[in-house]
Amino acid sequence: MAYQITELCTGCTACTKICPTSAITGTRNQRHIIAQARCIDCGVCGKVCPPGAIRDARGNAASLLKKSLWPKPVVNITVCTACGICVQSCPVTCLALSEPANGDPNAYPALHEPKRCLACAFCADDCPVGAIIMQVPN
Amino acid sequence: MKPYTGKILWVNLTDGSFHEEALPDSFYEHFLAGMGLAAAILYRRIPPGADPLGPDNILGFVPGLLTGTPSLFTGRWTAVGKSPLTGAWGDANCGGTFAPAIKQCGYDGIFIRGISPKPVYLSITHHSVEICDAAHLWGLDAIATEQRLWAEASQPKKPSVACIGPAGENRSLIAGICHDQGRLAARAGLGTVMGSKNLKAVALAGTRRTGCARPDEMKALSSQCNRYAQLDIPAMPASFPRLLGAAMRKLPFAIRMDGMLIMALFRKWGTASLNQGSVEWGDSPIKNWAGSDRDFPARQSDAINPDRVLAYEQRKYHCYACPLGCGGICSFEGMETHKPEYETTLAFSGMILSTDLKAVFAINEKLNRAGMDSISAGNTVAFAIEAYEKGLLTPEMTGGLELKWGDAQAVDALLDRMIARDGIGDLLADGVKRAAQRLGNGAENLAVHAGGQEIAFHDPRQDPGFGLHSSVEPSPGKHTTGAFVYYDTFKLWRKIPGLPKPPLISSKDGRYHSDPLKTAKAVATSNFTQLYNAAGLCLFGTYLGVERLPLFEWLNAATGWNRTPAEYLEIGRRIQTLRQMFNIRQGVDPRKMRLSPRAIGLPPLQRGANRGRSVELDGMIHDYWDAIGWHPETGIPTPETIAALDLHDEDIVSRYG
Repeated sequence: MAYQITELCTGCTACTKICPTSAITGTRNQRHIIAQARCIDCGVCGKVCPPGAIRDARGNAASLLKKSLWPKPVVNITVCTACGICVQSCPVTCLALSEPANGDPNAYPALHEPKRCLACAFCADDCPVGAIIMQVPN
Repeated sequence: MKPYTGKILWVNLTDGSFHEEALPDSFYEHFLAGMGLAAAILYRRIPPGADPLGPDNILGFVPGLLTGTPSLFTGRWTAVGKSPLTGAWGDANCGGTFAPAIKQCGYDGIFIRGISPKPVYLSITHHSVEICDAAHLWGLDAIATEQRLWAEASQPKKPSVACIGPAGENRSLIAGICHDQGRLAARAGLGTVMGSKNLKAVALAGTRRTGCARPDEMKALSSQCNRYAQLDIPAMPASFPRLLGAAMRKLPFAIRMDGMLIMALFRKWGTASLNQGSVEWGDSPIKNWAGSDRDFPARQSDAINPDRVLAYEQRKYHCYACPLGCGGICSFEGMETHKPEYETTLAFSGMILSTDLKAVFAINEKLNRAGMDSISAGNTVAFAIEAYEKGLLTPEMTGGLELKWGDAQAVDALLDRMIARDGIGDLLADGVKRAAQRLGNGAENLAVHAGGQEIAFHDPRQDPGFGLHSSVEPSPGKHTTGAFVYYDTFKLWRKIPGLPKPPLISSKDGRYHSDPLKTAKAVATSNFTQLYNAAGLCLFGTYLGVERLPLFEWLNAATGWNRTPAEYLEIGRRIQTLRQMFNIRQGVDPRKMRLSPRAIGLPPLQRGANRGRSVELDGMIHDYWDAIGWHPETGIPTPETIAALDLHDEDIVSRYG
């Protein structure tokens, strides 16, 4: 079950520009629609929708959130196993492995392209050892 | 939420069509996913007698049931099809990121049939399938192909790519499928199947998520497992594996192995930790299986000392979901390259008596780019050197290339010709069995293989389980399908009532004939191997043993089922039996998959770690077939077994559909 757009939609196109799977289509100033087959439930459309026209898979209305308040993944490398699940989970490849440091030969993930991050939290949800928390940057 | 997607993708390259096929819950309950799904699909869908390089053969890519769930070691994918090398069931396993990428496209398998009229590649996301022109990719090596597809990608998600290099394009029967800049699904010649379909690459960029029934329980299990996976032996010197190997050779008895030790070695060095220790122990074949550790003593094997390999390593390479990181990205002569695995290193050192580590790195990169299996290629060049030494190959036949023991540069040049099928390379590009058949004059005595596939570098004269499993496996000649040491490390007796616990100390001489303990161990090993292959696990993860690796518990938490370990093991037996039924349906005679005499000590070696040892393989095969429920004389699954496993000879997929 994917996200949906309600009649509150003004057709501002903010969601179409940011959707990572190009799942949202529509004419400017008219109600847009989300292609169920493309939607991956990342929820970024809801964060950028001014009138709050996006409903998640459970029917809850999403609310507009200023981009500076979007939580970002923070990796605790003392817990991280460098398994790379989070890198693969990220729908926009904004997480990447860093160069090894401090004599540890493992390459740990970090948020390399924070501007692309959708705050979807897939990385944190999928981490098998709880090494990632989502935090609003200071 | 379920950990499987419930559908597979079919692509027909002959007419460019594709469609999805839905699979019901009952299908997964019987076969899980991964190897089990592939066996059920291919069993009936490849017609009997199909040409492995013809349009009827099906090439499949499958992730495991647990791939994409918050579990560990579950990032393995398997390529499947009818093998052109053996004519039997073919599978090849690889890590990297391709397994989760298949699931992120929304599929539990991608199956390809037909032959494209021109070179193409597949571009797949969770909402699109495109068959794209690959004219600009054809002829490129595998690493360059992948880089080109990354550069051309239009989606925000970086594609995960499986592709072939020139070896697969040139229909070498020992070509594999490459992934992530030098990982290979190497075995069974499946890269050749891909080449025969004019399919250069499969690029996956889906972003759909995988579910599971009880995610919190999955994570708790993973965190607990990770504590064991991270255990380290501090300050191990590079001499440790060598000394350990020598001690195991000298001890008058055999000791039951704990996989935690192997895990610690792999954590530090990767499979390179075996480089010297295995030679000392008698695990490594030397000089085309005719030599011994005496021919490659420690002062020579020091050239491949694990620390010498590690000196090139820039960072660890972890496959998806792997907390171990046995791989490594090395810097070699100004370029990044994958750390050579033990198999490749031994192939191009001990097997050809070379002490040139730089040549090992160069050849490793060459084969990765070409997409050629280093196990088969290594056996083949060692065979060629011996054939040259014995006059079966002449300078006229080699185009003036002088082949001699220890000359890695000549081997490097020979590999170029094999990849290009140039001159003598054409004769050798299809592995040792076909080369020996073409040479005649007793060349088959020098060719070590099981059912046509060259075996990996673990000597059955040290662990006869490698010889047994190589011979009874539906996909013959593989070292990852079983060995007696694997049973020790799996520790199945801790979770499954009735399975024997091997003694801590046992007689070395007792290893070479069949007995009920060995048979029970071998059958349980096969069944567990198919189970973890269906789950998508890595063999190296199983070294933790099932009391530390919660495979059964993950499966229950991911699916919401409540099955016992014994019930899961029976699914493994179902998969193993169905793969054997595939072979029988294809007209394969299991009796002809038997490993070559040389590798089982017929005649026995006169010196070295395995001096005087011969494996009574026929008795072991007979007893294995009988115990797993196949006819003890023919290896054909009995009607009783087929009925007990619910594998009646009909279209299994539609029956469960």
